[in-house]
Amino acid sequence: MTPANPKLLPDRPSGDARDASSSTDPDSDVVGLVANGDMTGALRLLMARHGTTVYRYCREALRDATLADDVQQQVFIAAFRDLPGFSQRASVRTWLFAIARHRVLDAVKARRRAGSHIEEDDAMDVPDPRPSAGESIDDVRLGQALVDCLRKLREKVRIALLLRFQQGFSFEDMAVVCQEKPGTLQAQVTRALPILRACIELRTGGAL
Amino acid sequence: MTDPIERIEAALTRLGAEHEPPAGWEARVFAKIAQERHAEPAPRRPRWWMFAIPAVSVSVAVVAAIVVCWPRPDGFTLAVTFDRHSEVVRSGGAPNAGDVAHATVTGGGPHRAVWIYRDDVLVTACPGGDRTQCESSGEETTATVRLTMGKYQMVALTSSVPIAPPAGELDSDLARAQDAGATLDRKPVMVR
Repeated sequence: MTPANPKLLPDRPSGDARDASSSTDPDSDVVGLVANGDMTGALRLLMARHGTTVYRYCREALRDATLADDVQQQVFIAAFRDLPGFSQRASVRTWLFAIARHRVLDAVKARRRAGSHIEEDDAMDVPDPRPSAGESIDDVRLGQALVDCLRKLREKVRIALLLRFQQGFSFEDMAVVCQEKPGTLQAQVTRALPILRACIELRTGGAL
Repeated sequence: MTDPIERIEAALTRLGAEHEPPAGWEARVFAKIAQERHAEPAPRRPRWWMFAIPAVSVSVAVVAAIVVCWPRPDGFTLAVTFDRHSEVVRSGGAPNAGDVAHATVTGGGPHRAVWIYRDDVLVTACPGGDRTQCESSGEETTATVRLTMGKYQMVALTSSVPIAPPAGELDSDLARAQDAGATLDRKPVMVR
């Protein structure tokens, strides 16, 4: 299904997104600790500030709680190792999620090589009871169907959607995280949204 | 009526909001970092005198005994000694990076343990650690670690009941051990 009128999304952050283009990095205190040689203090601050969002990103990208826990830890272990070399070309948060994206993709490849395609969080996937004709989908059913439909997308597209909306990154920051051009990522996201809509409506039998 | 695409975007924004990382994950990160550091080979710094001395032995074993003066009625003591691997001698006998520390707990109850922390993160725990790091015999348990720069805490524990293994973070580990009835003794060691 091709979108009838693809919408070019404005490059706006959402939720609690941090604007990487601003002159002051919200994590400048982490940079200060690194400059003073206090890597442990810097890591503690990173974990306190970004631990939960990194976990949620890993959890939704991998759909496996145990794997997400492991990958989350790997992210911060790698961050600790790489902190001395942090060049400040991007914000700390952007840099951290670049590590997270790599670790997630590595985990996906390892899982595929191991032949394990069972995603633990979906083990109890129960077909959604269809609403009556004409009934619109409520937010709960929408959320459930969204999780299922995200699984059908390629990993890189799913990750782009999570970075854009769940984490609120601008396309410029996503370009740093994903090592892709902002326009490419914007096109991926723009194409994915109508596909998700079609999948959700097909799955639930309702209308958004 | 909200645009369907905007509803999907909003749902994506909320995705995973109910999830929280498992408790204690930060301590596990620090524990793994400590393990990785300990697995790294010690840097080898060739010095001119290493070529002058015949290749029978190049390490000078000078033992500086530092005994912690908190003897318990039951003879529970913590002793920390060092094998020196550097020609640099610091005032007060403080060890250097590269030296090997041996922390030995003696006496006390039927159960003993030695835990070594660096910058509040667990480096090794005996019993339970690597065979090359732990040694137990009769009334003694010894933990051994090659020192790198940082602030170490050598902790000895004894108890009448089995001592639960540490999770990896100094303050919470010691609090938990004391709550379970263990007696502790500790000595800080600064390595520069």
